[in-house]
Amino acid sequence: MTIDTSRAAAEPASAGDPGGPSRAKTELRCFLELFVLCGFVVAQPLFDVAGRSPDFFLFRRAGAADILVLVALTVLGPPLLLWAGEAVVGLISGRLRRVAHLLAVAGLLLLLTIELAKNLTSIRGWPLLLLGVAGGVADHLGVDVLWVRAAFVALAAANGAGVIAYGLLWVFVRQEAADVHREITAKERQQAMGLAALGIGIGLAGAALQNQVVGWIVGPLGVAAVGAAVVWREADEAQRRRWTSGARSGILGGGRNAVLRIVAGGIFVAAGIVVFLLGNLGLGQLQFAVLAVLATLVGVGVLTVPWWIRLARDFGEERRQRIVTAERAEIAAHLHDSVLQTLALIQKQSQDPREVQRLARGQERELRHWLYGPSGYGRGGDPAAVEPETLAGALRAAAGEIEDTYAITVNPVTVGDRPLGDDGGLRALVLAAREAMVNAAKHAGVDEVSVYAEVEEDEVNVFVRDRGKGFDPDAVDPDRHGLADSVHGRMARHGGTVRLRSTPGEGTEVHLAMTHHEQETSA
Amino acid sequence: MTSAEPVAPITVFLVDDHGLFRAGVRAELERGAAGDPPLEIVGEAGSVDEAVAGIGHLKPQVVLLDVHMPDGGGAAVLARVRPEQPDVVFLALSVSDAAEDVIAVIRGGARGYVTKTISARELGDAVRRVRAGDPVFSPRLAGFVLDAFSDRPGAAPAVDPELDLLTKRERDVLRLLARGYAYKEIAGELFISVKTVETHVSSVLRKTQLSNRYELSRWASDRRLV
Repeated sequence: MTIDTSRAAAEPASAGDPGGPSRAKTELRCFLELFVLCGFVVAQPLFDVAGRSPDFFLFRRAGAADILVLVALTVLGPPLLLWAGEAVVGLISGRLRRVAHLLAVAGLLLLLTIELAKNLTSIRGWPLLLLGVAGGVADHLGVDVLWVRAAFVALAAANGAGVIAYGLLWVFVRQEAADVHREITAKERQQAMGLAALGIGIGLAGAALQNQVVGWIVGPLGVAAVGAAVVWREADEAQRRRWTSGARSGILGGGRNAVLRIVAGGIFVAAGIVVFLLGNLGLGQLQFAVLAVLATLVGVGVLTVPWWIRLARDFGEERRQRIVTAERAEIAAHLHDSVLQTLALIQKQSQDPREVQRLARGQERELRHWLYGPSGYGRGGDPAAVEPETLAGALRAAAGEIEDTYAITVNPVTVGDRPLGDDGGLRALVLAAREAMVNAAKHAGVDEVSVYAEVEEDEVNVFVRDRGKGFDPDAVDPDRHGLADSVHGRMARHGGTVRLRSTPGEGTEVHLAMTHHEQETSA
Repeated sequence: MTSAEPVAPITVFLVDDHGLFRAGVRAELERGAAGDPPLEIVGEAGSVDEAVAGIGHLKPQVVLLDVHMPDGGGAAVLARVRPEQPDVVFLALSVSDAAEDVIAVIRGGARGYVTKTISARELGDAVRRVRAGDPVFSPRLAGFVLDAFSDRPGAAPAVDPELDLLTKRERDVLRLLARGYAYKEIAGELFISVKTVETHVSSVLRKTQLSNRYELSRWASDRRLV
């Protein structure tokens, strides 16, 4: 038998790796294979989905750190788990470990093929049920169900890859609620079950005939797998019942029948593992005890896999609900504090149109910012968060102040944005623009002022325009400090330029330009 | 007041889930200003289904479309009506200033976008202008489009230059629109005819609707509309 040599090979790995670099190299190669395949099969599609539905992150208000952790878990988790599983198997026998690795790779390759086929045929959604997996895959591939099942059977005969693939699909592919998809008849299900059993049988028989050792190993494990499948199926049923009845039953929900099935499944698993251990290893008592404990743990872990997965999903769902409720409360509180208060004020002041206009516009601005602002509610950000000071934000704030003070409408439109910085150039620009708005509000005799700012690579341009009275720029009284000091002087001090265009009767436009170059050298 | 000229009024259909707002717009538009070609409000709808049925039945020339409504909003109306009745012109009317909303309805096929705070007179003008085949760009929409087409360092290269890039002239026109200039003023500023300005704006509208630029498709897909 191979046991002695394989244990000899396995022990050094667990005892500090005196096996040298070749051993480490093999381990690394195994891990890399798993890593690459898992990357294609698990991580990439997940990212694909996550990228298409940012709601997930919005709802959770996930920050960069959360997303990084998620990415790390997604990328490293599956291959690490598989690799650890193989390492545990490797403790028992090196040959078994190789078989496990081959199985894992075969399963991942199969998934990859399916994933590719899915992408190529651009079919969305995975309407798969337990024992409707083949049907679901067939739907995707657009071929007859029978062919897919035959393929599963054929693959099952080849070292059991089909069984693994089927199991993986069933466990990891999200089910949809029963009403979403077509009926799967009992006959179909029976047929599928029969084919699956046939596949397992063929696989086991084939393996046993080919190689007695493999047969010895796979046989008991096959029994264990059947047991696990029975339990998993129960978990699946519980989930479906939950959908149909709407009741939240526990993991074991479903009465005596379910308990029986789970116990039966558990016994299967335990028996399989025990037979496997007894049959394959000539162990001392202590070693046997340790391995039995390990095997039990693995068994429990395997049995509870679907529960973990569904628990995580349900937990996510509940959390989402909670967050939605909290959001609603927050919206209500915000509306109460702002909009209702303002409406009350407006009712009181209804005889003063100017004041009504001012209140309404101020409230509108506030609500708009809360909803659509850079860190606003509608962007999934935290409205209470402090934003960095940017040109667009500063212009918006200045426009708001002017609106409040002079009861006019100022609509700032900005294209591009950049931080205000410390050197004062852009701050001066904003203050000059503010002064231009004040002038328009005071002297133009209009109720609306347009502000347009464009941030280009080397220059920022701001235009403040009104369609009011206008004036003759040459005839401006030199005593008018607003234009002379606040606008011209301020801009000139920071290397900016001011161009003024005004035609009596048609309005005024102040064009302020500031180059970035200036600031970068002084910064 | 309808003027004495024998001009057939432009038929307008109102879609908005706020009855109060519909009533206000109807009153404003029907009152109109003396001398302007008259507008006739032929119908109203308060939901997507009503709107689709009403537009199909009444065949208005212009639809004033609210962006935010239950059951999919303006985008849903656009998606359902446009294939059936390509002649109907849509003008989006919304309180929202969010780029996603604006770009989504424009890409859905609306020929213009104005905010609800627009004055009655300007709204009437906007309706007439879209009816005549010209787009209506509010300064904010012009800003969004400029932003979307701007060449930032690190931006993906244009796939289809015909659609993904603006010409210098189009950029100039958009800038002036964003600064609050009317078509006539833009024509004067750039020494071109109003007709040419309209051609440029139409071309910008076409690019906004059809371009595959990342910014535009992202804004559109944020509202589940591509």
